[in-house]
Amino acid sequence: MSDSIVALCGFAGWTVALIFVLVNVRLLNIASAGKALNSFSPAGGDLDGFGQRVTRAT
Amino acid sequence: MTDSIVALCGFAGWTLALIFVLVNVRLLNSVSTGKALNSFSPAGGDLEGFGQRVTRAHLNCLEVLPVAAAVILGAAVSGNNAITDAWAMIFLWARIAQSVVHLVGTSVPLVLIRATLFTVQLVILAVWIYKLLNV
Repeated sequence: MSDSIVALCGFAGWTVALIFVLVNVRLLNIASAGKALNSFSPAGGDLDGFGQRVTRAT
Repeated sequence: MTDSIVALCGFAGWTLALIFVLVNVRLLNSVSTGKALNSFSPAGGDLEGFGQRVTRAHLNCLEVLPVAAAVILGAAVSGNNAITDAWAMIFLWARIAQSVVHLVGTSVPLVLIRATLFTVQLVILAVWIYKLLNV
């Protein structure tokens, strides 16, 4: 594969990896704070620190 | 056309269909409540129920469509479309089912179903990317 395709697939892979991190941050938040699964803000404003940053990074 | 391209075009078509639904919901809202056409929130927070859900379902499609397009087109251009063909239609149906569940409601059981369907898509994307980067 060309470097361009590797870079494109790598970028896509990194985005997917960030989504996995976000999902785990939300699950951890549910387990630790008892937050309802259907109550998360799409923009991440209801998460603090890392949760908010990973939402924005995704 | 390969299954991958069908799935990608299907995904794009589904996103387009959601835009049409969203436009009609906004028009209906504008006509029935007198809400100004230039006052709608991009995130759908000012619409109730179905209007808010269709806005979010559409935005969810927009968030994943570029990633799926990058992987499927990357595979096609590099001649590795066999990698993405295998799970392409499952990916598409999981996406459509996720959106439909989102349109139906946002109760906890429905969010769990939606999350499961989203996870299916994420795992398929991750496997595709892993295989493509290891060709």
